[in-house]
Amino acid sequence: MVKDKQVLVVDDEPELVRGISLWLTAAGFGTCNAHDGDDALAVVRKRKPDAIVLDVRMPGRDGLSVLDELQGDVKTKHIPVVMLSASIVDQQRALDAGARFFLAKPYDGKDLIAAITSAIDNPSLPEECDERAETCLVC
Amino acid sequence: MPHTTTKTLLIEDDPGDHLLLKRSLLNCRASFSLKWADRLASGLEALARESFDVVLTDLSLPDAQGLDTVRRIRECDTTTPIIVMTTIDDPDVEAKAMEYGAQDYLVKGEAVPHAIERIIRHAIQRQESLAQIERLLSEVQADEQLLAEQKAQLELKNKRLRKLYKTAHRFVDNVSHEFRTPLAVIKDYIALVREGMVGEVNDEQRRMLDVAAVRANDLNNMVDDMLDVSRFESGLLAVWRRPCRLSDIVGEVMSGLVQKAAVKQIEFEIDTAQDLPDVYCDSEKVGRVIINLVTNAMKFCGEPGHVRLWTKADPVREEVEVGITDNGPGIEAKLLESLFKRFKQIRQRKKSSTKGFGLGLNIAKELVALNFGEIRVESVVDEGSTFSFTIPMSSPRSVVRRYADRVAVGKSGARAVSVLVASIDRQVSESVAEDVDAFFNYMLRQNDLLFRRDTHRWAILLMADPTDVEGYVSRIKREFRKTNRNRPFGPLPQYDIQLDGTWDLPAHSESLFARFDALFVDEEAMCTT
Repeated sequence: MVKDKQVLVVDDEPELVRGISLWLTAAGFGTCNAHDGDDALAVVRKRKPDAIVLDVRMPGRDGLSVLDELQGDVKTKHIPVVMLSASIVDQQRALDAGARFFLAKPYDGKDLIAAITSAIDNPSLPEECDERAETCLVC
Repeated sequence: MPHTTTKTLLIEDDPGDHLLLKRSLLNCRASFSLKWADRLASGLEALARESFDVVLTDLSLPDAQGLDTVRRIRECDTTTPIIVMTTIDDPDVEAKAMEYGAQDYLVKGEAVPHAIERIIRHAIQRQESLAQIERLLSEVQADEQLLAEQKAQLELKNKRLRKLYKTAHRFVDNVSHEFRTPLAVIKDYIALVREGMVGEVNDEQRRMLDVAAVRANDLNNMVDDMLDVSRFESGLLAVWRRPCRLSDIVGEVMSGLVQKAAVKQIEFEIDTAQDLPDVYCDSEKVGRVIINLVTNAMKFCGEPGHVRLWTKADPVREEVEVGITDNGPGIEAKLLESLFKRFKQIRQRKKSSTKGFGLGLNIAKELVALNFGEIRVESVVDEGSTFSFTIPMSSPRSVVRRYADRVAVGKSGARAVSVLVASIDRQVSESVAEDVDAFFNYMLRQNDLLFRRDTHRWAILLMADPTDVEGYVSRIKREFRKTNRNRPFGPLPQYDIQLDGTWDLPAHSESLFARFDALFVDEEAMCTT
């Protein structure tokens, strides 16, 4: 049930925080927000959200650094993070750093809801592919 | 040498040997002058005072013994040839004398005049050769140094270029980031209002929001255009070629163009044939070429403006032609050639605020080429211009032939081409199969092709030999994991992939075509093998 799930929205653009929050609220999530990296860490500790929407590029502490901090703390490492960036270059970095999903800006509100829902339902990464089930190359 | 006098210095303490040599030289055909020194010291003084063509020296002098004599002469004089006079015919002495810098030796009393003459002549020639070798060597060394300097300079330039390239890439990335951030807000707010999430929206408002959304997408495409320029250069352009209906593509881009025409009060005529065969292309790229060319035509058409979009099928060449004709001022013939170059906007006679990046036509040309088509322009000054481009019909055999033609005219000469066949379980739903199709397509490099044999089976044409294929297959494996990692809708189903064969183009083109025909025409035979 998403009804009682709380999602933290972090972006240095207040308009985007509002937009994302509107999509989440309409889908039944509760929201809280932060506008920079340090602010985000403070809110995470106080509110203990069920998932985080996190922008990559922010002035001061950026999203990747926030994610690092969260992953390094046993109290927060389980919280799934969906990262957003207006540059596709950030995708691999975000996923490597441990983001559950990555979305490119401009994003589609429906994709965002799908990513957050899936992240809350399956917070940890699926297990790596079984080596035996892999492709075969017959010449 | 026979016509000039050879100046000879003899260093010899035995007056008898001096006399013998003097006589021998007098009996030679060539002319010699002989200066005699009976000590090494006086010999070296003579060498310092004047120049000689050759020095003959004894090895046992009152003030010098053995090969030390040769060494000391060489120290004083590095260029004059030296001939050692010895009483013993010992190859060891010969070798040592040479090592210290003598050119030859002669055994006293054994050499007849013409032999002495020959030895002297050869010694002089050898010394000249040696001098020449040294000159050449020093030239080579100088060249080598120059090359080393040039290499260092090139490395520096290379480093600067790499840095510049990196800076340019970072710049493009930053610019696109800056563009996309406000665009994200605009698109998001349009969508939120449009969906009625912040209050009720009436029909007219919804229509206006739809237009705003289309225009925001246009802007996003322009950012794509800018990014594409750098992606073309790196050869990483994602192309999704597959069978498409041209009417669908035209339909998707039409509303924006009709809107644009209405705003500009341009008569926009869409004259597309109804029964066109399917084409094989990246529909998004074709859509962008159409937007590009129509937008261009609307910029430069006459007043009142008239723009016509038309299509024509050519069953012989197995292609469809799409054309856009305007009633603009036309383009002079000499300007037509440079039209498709980057950042080129031809100075138009019409005063207008229609400034673009000048990238449109260049991009259009590249996009058409990606779809194995050609772009053309015909223009009559004061009457108008027609831009048209071709798209191949959806026939794997026809497309693979165009592909082979392109390989044949490519700079790289002969290339190995491999065919991979891939499949997924029949039970997988068609929508997920579409996602697998998108994935395989995402894995293509610019010179690879993907064909769908049916909803669950594919043939991939790779510009690769079997070794490259191995690397390619493991790259698919890695990317498959990565893709599944970022899929909120659950992982893609496991696929099977096999190498069907490798052909050298152009030598074995026919055999490749035959195999391709079999893959697509003779399905049952394929299944039983």
